[in-house]
Amino acid sequence: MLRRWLALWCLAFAVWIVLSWTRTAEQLIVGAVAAAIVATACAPLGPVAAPWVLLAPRRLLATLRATLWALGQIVRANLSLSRRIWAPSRPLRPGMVIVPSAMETDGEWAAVGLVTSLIVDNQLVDVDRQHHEMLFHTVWVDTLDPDENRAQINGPVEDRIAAIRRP
Amino acid sequence: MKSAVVIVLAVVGVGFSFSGAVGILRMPDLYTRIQCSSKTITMGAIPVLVALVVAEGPVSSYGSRTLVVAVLLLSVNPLASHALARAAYKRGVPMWPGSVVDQGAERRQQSED
Repeated sequence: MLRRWLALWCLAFAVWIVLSWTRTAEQLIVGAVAAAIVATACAPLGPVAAPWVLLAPRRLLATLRATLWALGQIVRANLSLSRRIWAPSRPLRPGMVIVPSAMETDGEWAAVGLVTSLIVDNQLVDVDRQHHEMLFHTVWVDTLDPDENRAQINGPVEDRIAAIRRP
Repeated sequence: MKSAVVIVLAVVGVGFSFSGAVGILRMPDLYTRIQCSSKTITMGAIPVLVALVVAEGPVSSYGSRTLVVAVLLLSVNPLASHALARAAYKRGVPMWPGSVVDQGAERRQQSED
């Protein structure tokens, strides 16, 4: 519980510093107190990703690699979708596909949902945690095979998230 | 040089935002339109925010608030688009007739049989 509280305090204090951007003693003290109140209120709600886990070099490297890869994919997917928007001759093959997922924790599910939705080829519609499946709407359906769709949609994201979680 | 980078980033951002807006009009159903709306954030707003950071400097009140805005946009936008798509799908908003597959509906049909 103390670890969770401390993680929340660090995150809330960082947000305070970034928002206030005033490095006076009064601002920092008020920020520390406000962060303590937020941490006390939110700590019982559930597990918290501690910011200091990123200090492990291998995890930091995996995070940087995943971020760069995601940025590249976001640009590629945006350009591809723009081409479809501006060229009516390019056909659409949209559809809802179910893909298996290897994610386990709340944080992993949330991370996969966020990143796959930012890569605009695919939009997460629903999750079935019991059966470890996700339902995506995709602009271009290549295949109906769930495993092949996983390799195209959520598989690369999940591999990178697993590398961050278990470097 | 800095001004040129700022202008290029701003033009890229505005261009992708415009493209996303056209996509929302042009795409055939709600689900593909939702994906176009995500575009206006990922490649529309973010380059404009980066342009602001380049113009004002990363270690400034502009830079710090840009970071907060970018984090909020990049987390709230996928959440909102997911909520919209899920609600629409659960309520039975139809897909475009040219859609090739709906494995969610197929799964439901199998479980009912």
